[in-house]
Amino acid sequence: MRRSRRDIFSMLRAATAQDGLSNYPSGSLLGPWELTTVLVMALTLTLVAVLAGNDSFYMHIATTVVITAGFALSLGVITRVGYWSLGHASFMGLGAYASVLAVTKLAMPIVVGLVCAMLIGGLTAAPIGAVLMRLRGAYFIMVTFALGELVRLTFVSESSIFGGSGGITKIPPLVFTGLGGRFSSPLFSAYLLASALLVSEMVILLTIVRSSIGRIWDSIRENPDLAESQGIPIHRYKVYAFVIGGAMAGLAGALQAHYLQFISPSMYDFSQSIKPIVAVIVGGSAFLVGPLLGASLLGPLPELFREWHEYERIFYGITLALVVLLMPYGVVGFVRRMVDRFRRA
Amino acid sequence: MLKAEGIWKRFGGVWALYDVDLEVGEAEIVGLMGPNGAGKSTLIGAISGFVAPTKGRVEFNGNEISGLPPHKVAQIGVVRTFQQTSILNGFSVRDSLLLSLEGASAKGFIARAMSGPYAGDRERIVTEAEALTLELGLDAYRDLPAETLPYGRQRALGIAMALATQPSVILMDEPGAGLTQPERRELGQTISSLPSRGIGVLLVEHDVAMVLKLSDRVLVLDHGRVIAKGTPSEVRSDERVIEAYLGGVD
Amino acid sequence: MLTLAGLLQLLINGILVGLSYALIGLGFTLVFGVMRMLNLLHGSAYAWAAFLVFVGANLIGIPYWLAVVLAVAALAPMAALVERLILRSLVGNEFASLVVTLGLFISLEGLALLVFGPDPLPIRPPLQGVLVVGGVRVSSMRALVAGIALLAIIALWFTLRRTDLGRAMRAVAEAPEIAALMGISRGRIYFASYVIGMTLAALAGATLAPAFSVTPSIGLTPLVKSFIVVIIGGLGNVPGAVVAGLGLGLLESGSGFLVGTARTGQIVFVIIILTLLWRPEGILAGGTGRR
Repeated sequence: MRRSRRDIFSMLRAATAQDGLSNYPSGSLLGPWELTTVLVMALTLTLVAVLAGNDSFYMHIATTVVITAGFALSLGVITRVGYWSLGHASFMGLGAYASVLAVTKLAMPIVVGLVCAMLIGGLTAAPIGAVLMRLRGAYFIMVTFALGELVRLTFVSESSIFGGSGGITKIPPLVFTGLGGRFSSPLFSAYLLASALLVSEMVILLTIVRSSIGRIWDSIRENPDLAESQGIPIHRYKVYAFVIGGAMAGLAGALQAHYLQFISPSMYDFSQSIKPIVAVIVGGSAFLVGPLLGASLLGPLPELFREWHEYERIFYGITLALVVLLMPYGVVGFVRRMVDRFRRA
Repeated sequence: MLKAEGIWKRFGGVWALYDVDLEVGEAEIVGLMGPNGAGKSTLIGAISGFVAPTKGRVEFNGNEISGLPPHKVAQIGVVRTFQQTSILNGFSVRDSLLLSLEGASAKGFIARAMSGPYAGDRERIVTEAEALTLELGLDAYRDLPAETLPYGRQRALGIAMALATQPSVILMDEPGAGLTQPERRELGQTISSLPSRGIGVLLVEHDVAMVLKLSDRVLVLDHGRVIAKGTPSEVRSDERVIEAYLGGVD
Repeated sequence: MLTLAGLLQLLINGILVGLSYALIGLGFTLVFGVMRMLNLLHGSAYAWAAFLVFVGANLIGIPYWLAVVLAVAALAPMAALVERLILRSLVGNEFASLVVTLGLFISLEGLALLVFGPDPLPIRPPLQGVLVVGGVRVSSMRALVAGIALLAIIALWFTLRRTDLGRAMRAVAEAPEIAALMGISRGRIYFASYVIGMTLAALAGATLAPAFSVTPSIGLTPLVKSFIVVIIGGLGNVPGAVVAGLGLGLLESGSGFLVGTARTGQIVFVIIILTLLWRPEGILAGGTGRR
């Protein structure tokens, strides 16, 4: 008994070990940067929950931001290999409809619905990515735009499956049964679930990016020909990124569907595909936290600008233009440069 | 032994290569010369899998590699370097070498994800990375982003990355371009040391003196055709070669 | 039951609409061809030309056609300003230009919402009535607008083929290094191309918009049409844009009749995806030829 406990602890310690030998990264799955990031995320999410308390307005904003952050993060995986998809909302929609249909038509529990959403998101992304990622740059942007529109139109046209342009209403909410008090309020349950999932996704992604896969993805973005000449099967790894992005987007879509308790095809149009792009650009595409930061900054805007959504559009658009012109690496990139400059001075 | 037989390549309506034959043994340096636009880079592309030959066959140690994608060709042991874009922006020397050392690892996605930063044994990989770094004079630049290195060091990094894949043959596409004379001399020394490690080299270079000095054998391309082949001294005095260089725009 | 007259009707409708699509796509492809920039402000030029026509004709009360001319004339210097101040630094950077112009497009849409409100703006087209020629019914306004589009297309063709400016623009589009060597000032060509491209968009907006309803978000549809026309015709390929525009118009006309609008939309996007996968340079390959 005692021995197995000690083994677990030494395993934990080994997993987070720091090798002082050289500046080569230690062999651990998660390094100090990764652990700090996860810790800060978890603390922030907890803090927000505590501060928002019982105020449903703030909880609503918080929950929406968390879900949007997950969606933005899913695009961040794809942009990491240098591909900017203008139709990413289609995977969100596919996941949303998958979960909703599983729950409403097949009477599955919501957990199963969420799993279906991820599966559908990932499985549809595989062949699509395999074909579309043969294109580069502007052509990929355009073809994903066309894809997004095609999928949305299909949601409308196949009304027998998807419920038509009126969408599907009365979707069962996310509620944790069996736990008393706060946990049974749909608002809080949704926030808890979305946050837990976001942190889990982040842990997984940080692990992947820290491994040799992160290096491979970065090399594909920077110089795909050179990467290929080093024996790396770049196409395969591009598609991996696309599939992970699709699965995560599907999950975000399902979460949103059960949270809003309503979905319709117009929710997955071009403007929805733009949102994660803006989040990634504003937050910064070089680090995984960039999209999270971007989503946190931009997410509350619609609610804050509630009465004046014209001003919101104006502000949003100008921010986007300015960020690209002045801070091409986003807020995270900007902060990092400042930190570097500060360190050198 | 790398063999290219009867390589023809057409782009749209224009023929870039006409019936080109080429051989590179495992411990020799073969030079490939020719004026601009002769088709040298196209030929390298055709051999390494980046360009699909319209007609022709490429063999390595008896096995056909003509239809293979570039990463498979590299895994088999035929590695190319690039003329202009030879480095990864934002990658330090360390990261670049780590990438090359593990790029061809057979591990799948999940296996890699669970292995942490190294797809293989950390000791072995770090030792090899260090060895290459020191051998090619990159030790002062370990943590610096590759794009900040002087060009000479960037080329050295490109060669180090190629060496990291444990190649049998390296196809070098104008490694001397943009280098100063002393940098070129150093590059030349590095290249001449390769055959003794059992690595064959196909050296495409614009610097005629450099090619003639380093190569065991030379091929000359002009407008997609092989117009001369032989030892450096034979080629140097070949009339057709002189005319090709003087006649064209260099 | 399709009679000959019916077929002719579909054909004429398709061509009329197609000419408008061609006009819309031309400016977009021109700017991309010369500046390698995905200029989403193209849609804003379209939209704001229409808004200015509303302001002129309905609010101030000047004659319709004068309003159209003034609207187009007002947008040209705006375009010039934008090019000089903001876009100059983004030439060649496809992604950055897309995002910056996207941001500005969104802002301008917000501004339109603020100024005009969300409801459609009533613009009374000056020409009512229908022409009937040989069994084919065409609204006079539509015919006139298509005629204007045709004139503009011919004018652009003439400029590109026969004038020095046009030749310089083509040189910069196809071989920028050589153009520089030939002493062509790229800055001036970018400027000219951008202003011309945006003016074409403004012309399309000012003449076309009254045929449909003018809402603050009308900028989006012409952008989508531009994308479609330009993808099928080839980015930077001017004759391709004309052919693609006509093709799109005819396709929508015929397909709309046969299977309805939703399905037509799907068919169009499937065609786009297939085009990008197999002929990324466009159906009429051989425009700028660059990927």
